[in-house]
Amino acid sequence: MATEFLSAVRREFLSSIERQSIFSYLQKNRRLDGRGLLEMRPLKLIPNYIEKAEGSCLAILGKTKVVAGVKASVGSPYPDTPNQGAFIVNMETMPIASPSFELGPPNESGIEFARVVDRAIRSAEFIDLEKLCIEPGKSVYIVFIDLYPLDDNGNILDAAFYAAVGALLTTKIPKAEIVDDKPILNYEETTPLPLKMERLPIQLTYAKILDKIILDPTNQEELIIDFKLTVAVMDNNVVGIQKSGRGAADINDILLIMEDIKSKAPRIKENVLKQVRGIK
Amino acid sequence: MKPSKEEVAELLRKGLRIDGRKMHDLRPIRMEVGVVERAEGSALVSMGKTRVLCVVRGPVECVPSHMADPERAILDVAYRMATFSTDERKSPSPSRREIELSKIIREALEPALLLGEYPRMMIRVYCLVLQADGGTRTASINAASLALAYAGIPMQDLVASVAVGYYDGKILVDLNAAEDDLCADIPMAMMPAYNKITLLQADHIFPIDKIREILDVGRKAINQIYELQKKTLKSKYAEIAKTTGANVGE
Repeated sequence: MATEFLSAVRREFLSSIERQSIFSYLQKNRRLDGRGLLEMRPLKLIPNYIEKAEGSCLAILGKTKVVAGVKASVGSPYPDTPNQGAFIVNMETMPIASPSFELGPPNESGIEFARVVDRAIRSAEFIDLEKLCIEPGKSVYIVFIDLYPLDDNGNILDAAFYAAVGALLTTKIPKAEIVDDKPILNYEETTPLPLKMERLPIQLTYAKILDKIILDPTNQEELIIDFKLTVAVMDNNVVGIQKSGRGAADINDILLIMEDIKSKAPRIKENVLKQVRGIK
Repeated sequence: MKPSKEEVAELLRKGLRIDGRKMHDLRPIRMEVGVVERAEGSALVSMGKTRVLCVVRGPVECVPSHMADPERAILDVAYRMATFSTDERKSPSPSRREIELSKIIREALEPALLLGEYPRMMIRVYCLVLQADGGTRTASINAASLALAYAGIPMQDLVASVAVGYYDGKILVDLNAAEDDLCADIPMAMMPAYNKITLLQADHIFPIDKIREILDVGRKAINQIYELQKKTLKSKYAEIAKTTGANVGE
């Protein structure tokens, strides 16, 4: 039975007056919150938000908030990659962020969001997994990237992505020491998580309402969209695509979105690095 | 003998594939509908060694009832892999991947279905991967679309699906598992009569500027699958007509 993973009860509604306002603004190529169609809400990143974590970041996209925390542990490598560490992305969707979320086992959108963030970081090869090997074939670092949406005002997926990237950029992993043939983590001595900075991916989520493509949908807009398309890029390459929602896309929608993200990605990358690391 | 990554890569660089196909060739496809007696709709689809059985039940009353939508029927899709479908035994409990794919397959089918015809009801789709050799989500969509049509669920079009791959500047179609490990994998699904895309995902890495060509190659392969789906349904109806003496025309 798949219903157990569906996103619980539909508790969110859009009054017909809100719906009509969104539509009439869109017809004038405007958004209810004053934005243009392809305009992203301001992205604010607060690095090192949680001192206890090896790395952390609070991402604020408009009013949407997601916090990411990174923890490291030691484990066995996967048999097919004995020289590589591993990372695992997980999202906990709690009713804190939205009335649509329930406690209990992870729901399908939480699982989907975590897997989409995971694929972008993995496909871009942003984390240098080979440097996370402690003893080949025996022990490696396992890096957990855990995402907690705190306030869902739309497009949790992009906020989660930037929280994850921001947290990785701040992560310092404890040194692994072999004691009695067993690796032990020494939290007194840390080194920055090995990242391939030139491979930092950028992700944007677009949606279609009426016949308009919009960027970074709000929670109100999300209730009436045809489909969403989340795209991750690294330089001039695609490192992830995910279509979601019950509508269908035209080929031209996809091409328009690809052109738009290509033009926006360099500036967003600069903004992320500046906010997290103070790099200009 | 399983081919190594290097062998697959070397062939692909020469524009060749381990199973002898050309870059834009589909694997041999077999489609059959009405294979499960105790279900309103069913289909068995093989694409190469990948084999998926799909069953449709309903429309039935929505359970649990609080999930019911007063405007349309709910589509409930479960995608599962049989424990023996892979090289290593797969645990029978649903993985995160299976839960994500269930959602993705549902959203690939929903645009084609006239769910507004059945408010407060539920239509259930079960996809069981019997053997996995790449392209299990796309084979599931092809099978589900056939099973829904065979069950008589009102649809505006069939949905046909294929995975497009990209490797070393080359675009290939309908990846098997060995190619899937190596190439960028871009699964897509369309309602061919409307030229609309209902599923699009991408994994690994490919140049942004290749997207137009990738979508175009995918669309052509999808049209071939679409023709096979229509042929499968028509010949089944003709067969039923023969046994019942009804006249279904062409």
